[in-house]
Amino acid sequence: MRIANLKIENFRGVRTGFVQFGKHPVLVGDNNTGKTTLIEALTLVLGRDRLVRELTEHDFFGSNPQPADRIKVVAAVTDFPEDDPEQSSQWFRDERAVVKWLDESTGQVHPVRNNPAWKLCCQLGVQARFDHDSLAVETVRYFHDHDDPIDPFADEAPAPVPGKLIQELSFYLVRASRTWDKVFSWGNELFKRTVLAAAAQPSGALLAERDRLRAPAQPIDADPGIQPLIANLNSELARSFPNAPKVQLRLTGTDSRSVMEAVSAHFAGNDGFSIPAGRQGSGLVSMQGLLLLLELGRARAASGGEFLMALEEPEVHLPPSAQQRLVQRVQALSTQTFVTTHSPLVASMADPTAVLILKKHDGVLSAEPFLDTPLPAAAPNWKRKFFQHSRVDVLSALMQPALLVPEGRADFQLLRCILRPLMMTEGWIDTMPRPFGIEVGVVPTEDANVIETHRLMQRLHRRVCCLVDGDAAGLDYADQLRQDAAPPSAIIRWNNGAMIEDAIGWILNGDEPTVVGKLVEMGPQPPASTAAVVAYLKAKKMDIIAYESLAEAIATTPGCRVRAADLLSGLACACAGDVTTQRFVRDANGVWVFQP
Amino acid sequence: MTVRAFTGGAGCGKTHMLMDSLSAYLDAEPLHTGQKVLALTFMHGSRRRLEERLGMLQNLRGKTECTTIDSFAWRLVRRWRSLAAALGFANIGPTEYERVCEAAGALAQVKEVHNWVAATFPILVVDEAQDMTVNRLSMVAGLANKLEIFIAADEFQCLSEELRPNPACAWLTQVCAPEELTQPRRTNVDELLNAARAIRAGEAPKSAKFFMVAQTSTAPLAGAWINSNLNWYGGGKRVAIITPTHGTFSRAALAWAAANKTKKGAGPYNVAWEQSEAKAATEYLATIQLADQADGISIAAILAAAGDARTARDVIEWLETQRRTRAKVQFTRDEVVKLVEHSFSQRRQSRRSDVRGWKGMTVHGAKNREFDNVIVLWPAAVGGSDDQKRRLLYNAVTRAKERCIVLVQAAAHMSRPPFT
Repeated sequence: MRIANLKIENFRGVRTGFVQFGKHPVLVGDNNTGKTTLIEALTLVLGRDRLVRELTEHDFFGSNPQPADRIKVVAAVTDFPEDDPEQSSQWFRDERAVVKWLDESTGQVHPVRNNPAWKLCCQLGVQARFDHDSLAVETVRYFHDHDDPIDPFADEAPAPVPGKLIQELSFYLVRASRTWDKVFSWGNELFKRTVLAAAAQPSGALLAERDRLRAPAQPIDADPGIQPLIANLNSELARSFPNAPKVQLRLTGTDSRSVMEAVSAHFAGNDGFSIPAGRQGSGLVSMQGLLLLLELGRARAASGGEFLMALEEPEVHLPPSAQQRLVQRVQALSTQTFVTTHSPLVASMADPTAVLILKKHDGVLSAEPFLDTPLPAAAPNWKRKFFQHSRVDVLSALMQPALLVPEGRADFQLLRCILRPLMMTEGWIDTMPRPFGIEVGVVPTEDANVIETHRLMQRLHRRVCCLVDGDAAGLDYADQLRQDAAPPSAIIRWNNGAMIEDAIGWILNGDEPTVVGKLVEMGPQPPASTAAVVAYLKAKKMDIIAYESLAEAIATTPGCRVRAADLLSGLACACAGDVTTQRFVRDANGVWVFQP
Repeated sequence: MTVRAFTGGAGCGKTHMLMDSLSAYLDAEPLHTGQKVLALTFMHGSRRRLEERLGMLQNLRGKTECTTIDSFAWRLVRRWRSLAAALGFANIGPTEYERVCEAAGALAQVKEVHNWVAATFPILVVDEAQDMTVNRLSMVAGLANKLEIFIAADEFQCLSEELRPNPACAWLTQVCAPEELTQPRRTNVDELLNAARAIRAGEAPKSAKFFMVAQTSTAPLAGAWINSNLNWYGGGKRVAIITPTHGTFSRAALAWAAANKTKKGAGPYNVAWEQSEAKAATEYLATIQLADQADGISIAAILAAAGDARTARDVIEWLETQRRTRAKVQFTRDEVVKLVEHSFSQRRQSRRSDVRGWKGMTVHGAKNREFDNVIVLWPAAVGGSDDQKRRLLYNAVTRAKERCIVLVQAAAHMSRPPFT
């Protein structure tokens, strides 16, 4: 089974939202785009009770719920065997779900199957309200039969979802904030479930241990150190009570439960030392938990059961070396996974069509697949490069508040190279009204496809800006973009006749003698002037080594550093539509033009 | 799927046979986990009796759900609301009984729906099937596509003149060969058996000792008959005073019986009348003064003062829920009236089927029940065709196990059907 879509109303920061899911979606997005809200909403509908956190006013959109306000989450469950309700009669029968048909192309649910491609589905709903008398949140989980406005609290009670079906779905959530101490222990719910699912209870060993603890070979109370004290206690006791029992000291409560709870995992190194898990580094500790989840998934898969797993920010739990392998193992063993991530690296491991870019504007949550449909064989080379080879860069840019599509790859590289050492410079960020590195993500445009790239990105990001050259071709691009049906949020261009290399020249002119002196290594001959550097950069595009020495020289030359900060912050202002900078000024057509 | 039907006169053991054949079927085909037998009846009284009968089946161990046809129909419509709307039945409320049943009838024809019902209820038991209207029959017939059906009906016990010819009985002869039961089991009093047979056959029932027809022109006379009958034969017995229409005659007769002694000292006896819940609700509403629009607190105060604790509690609870979940504090009279009516009808559903003691009721209210001793009050105002009158009398007389007396108000009636 699979969750095909989720509808959210009034939950946390989301006033309304609708997201469709494939088998193994990877959800990416800037902070506060609703990744956690989405996962918590899934948990409300699918999670076992102990997984669901108790809700408070803050879980309602706006944090001030009125009596008639409801949190409402509805999930469509699909992928039932052969789309035949009779084969899944534990789901489709009286007091359970009614039969409905899902059109996956739109996410709409229909009462009658008018199209053979529509899939059998049922809808599970959760609603919650805040009670002003008891100051508590009341929650119901029910089979969502129809979209008519029926209130489960004030009108007739809907059919509740039995815990048995929730167990059958076996939804598991690993929260980003999860701590993994005491994972391999019967005190841990996950461990208990895994052992149970795998039918791996070591009863023989546990009972033997219990018996050994009941009748120890070397009782503590018989130790010569403590024995006299115990003997005194016993004789005092005998004087107070007829037939008084005798004091004995035993490890644990000597029943199997206390034995199980006392178990603690140790890790034995190659050196032979065995060290308890709690004293290991956090990487290994969190790894244990994920390994256990894999085992649970394996046991569920072996018994033909479902295993749905939401993994929040695996990069928090895992060292980079383990991320890819573990995420892929989790996906292979689960019926469906939901991975949220801040890491473009983790996102780039997934199939680009499975990566969902979350967007939230004015409380409306939506998600767009990074790539709509798999690229056809005939897809142009630049597109292939953009979505495959460069996808870490593209995904990382998508997570920023504004996205900048430059005219060419050289702009991307230069901006990035200059930015990186600058950001290391202490106090640098304070000098900018708008920190470029935090506010703007730059994508590596291929083959000057600024117009096409803009269109591709517009679907995924609300604030797409374009940066073009000041030459004839650049002006032409700017005109085309301006006349586009959905023009960019901002069109930015270099001054007349200029391109990014000229802007670099302007930065270098902040302290020409010093900075040019630091660039002796650039090119076969040491450049004598800014003009020579600019000429070299224009002649040898994408000379990454040259870019890096340039960046280093700028970062270490205060005069240039100030200009670089000025330029980048101006660029960030233009992207945000902020007129406080004078470095970029809008012309008659609204195009932001660089003012050196 | 198979339909097994049992027909036959009152007291011939149709329900008994229903249980026997269901039990035999369950022996061969036990229910799976989570499955139950669905039993549908018309009135809540018969629902409880059927529930008790099913509860006695060893191989069922309580895995039954007894409900009225109408509430099951609403259940289908409520759950399958979006499909019902697609079939042309949108915006139906739970109290629009005929539309609910019509929509449920349409839904039950849909494969997904009858399979959905069958997944929980592979077996359907219907008693008193002759009372099913076309729409209710349509629901049962739709379910019969997938469910095993055990059904009992007696065309002659149908009191609704609109159901002639009887749709359910016609359907049964189409889908199966109903087993006709002819051996009466409720009583072995020959006089009662003969009277019932005669009424059914359109002949004159013979007045004798255990079955007696007496002419009582005035209410005091009828009252005196009631008291002496109760005095002689009512001790420790279940007695029903049954009338086709509870009008002036029956009220006056009961009032006399409650206030007077006969010359021989029988009485006074106060026999409680079983009131329809709708009527009880109307009477209750007449005692309270509701404003067109009022706030919850003043409505609660009015109801608390009105004296019916249960209705007051039901309504106040609802008002509270509305305040807490919708911040609604103003209510119209209509809303409160609806709630009071609902509260009374809920009461009918949960009331226990106590058959001890003496009771007064209409023929409709007596359906499907049995009593040791039956006193029929036959007022001059009984309407309908001769056939209808025979059915009314048949339904009243066949409730008796030991004796039955019919008190006829109009002398002229003595020489007309159903008495000739």
